[in-house]
Amino acid sequence: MKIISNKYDELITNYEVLNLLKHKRKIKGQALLNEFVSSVVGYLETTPAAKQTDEIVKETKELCKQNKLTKAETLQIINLAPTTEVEIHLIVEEAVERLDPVAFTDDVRFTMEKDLNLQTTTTTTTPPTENGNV
Amino acid sequence: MFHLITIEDKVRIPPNQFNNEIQTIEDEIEKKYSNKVVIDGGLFIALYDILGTGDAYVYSGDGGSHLLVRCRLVVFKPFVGEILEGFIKKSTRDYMQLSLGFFDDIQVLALDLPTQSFYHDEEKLWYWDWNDNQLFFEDRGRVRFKIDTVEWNDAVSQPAPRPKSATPVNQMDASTLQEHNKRIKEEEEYLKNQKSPMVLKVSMRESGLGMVSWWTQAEGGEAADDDEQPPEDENNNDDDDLNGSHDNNENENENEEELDEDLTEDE
Repeated sequence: MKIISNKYDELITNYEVLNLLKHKRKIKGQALLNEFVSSVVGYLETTPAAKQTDEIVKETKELCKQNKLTKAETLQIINLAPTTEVEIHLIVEEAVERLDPVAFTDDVRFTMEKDLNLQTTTTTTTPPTENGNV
Repeated sequence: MFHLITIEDKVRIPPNQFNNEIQTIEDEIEKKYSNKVVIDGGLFIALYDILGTGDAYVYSGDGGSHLLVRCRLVVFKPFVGEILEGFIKKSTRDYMQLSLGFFDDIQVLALDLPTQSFYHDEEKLWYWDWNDNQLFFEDRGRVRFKIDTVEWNDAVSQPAPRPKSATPVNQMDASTLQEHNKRIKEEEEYLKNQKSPMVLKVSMRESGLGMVSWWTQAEGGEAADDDEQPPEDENNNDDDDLNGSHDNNENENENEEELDEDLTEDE
């Protein structure tokens, strides 16, 4: 085995991992492996990723871009879906100088919830995103 | 939390799978890598995609074809400073062990708990002493933490294989039995001292970290979860504080922010 590239720049959101694992074909006769995969899925279902859709992730990413957040910060915003100001301060370094934490918290919450409302009206089945790396 | 890593590896395809190449490659890669840690790489979760394959070679004496595959895998390797959520698995006097369900080697040392945290001897739990309120780190409670360091332990994870003895244990004579027991003991000792290949050292010293329920706002109604109730009756103060709201929380934030400022000044 040879590692070709192992950098931190190919980040992937919890939502994408969850989608990948959910649509995975189970390998026969590999009980341990399948158990491991389902434990990862089990964990991810407890995170906000379980409720997200392609649109939510895209819009949140766009929102973070407008606020000039770094890649790592964007990833954490998507993964954790912060609802309180404390969390924003935790994720974004020097939040007060770089953005308006109160407004940003509301924006994030709005983005996350807006699509929840949409989901109830139009039932969309989202295919796994293959090339949607952050 | 997760990222992609590109690797190259040789895969053997048995003759009966020649019409089913891609699926075989996928399965072989998954079987080989899933749930394993590579030093500096991380914990492999699953195959993401196959980027390409080289030419297939057939060697003498083997009917299968061997080909070089370049693919991307999803690995779990949080970066330093990343915020994650997990649950408490074990609380001891020296440290608290956290788990993500699929990964258990996450440690918080007593030093890295929120300032002024103590160990409760009877409950065998840690608590944060905040304004004379005991906020407990409940067992199996959901916690938020920040990655401090990722430790890689480059060591053999399995003891050397034991030589197979012809006689079963109950038919051994005294000296071989003694030797046998000694060897088993040594192996157990060895495994006990063996560190897991990837250990995350995390901290909870900033505001917003610690039990998730401490920081959720009461207005959403989510904060009124059952698991927020203190586990015992003797701490009646806790009740007021936890169910009571938002003002308290804000005070708390202010306190913590002051604390943080102090800390940064010290630095």
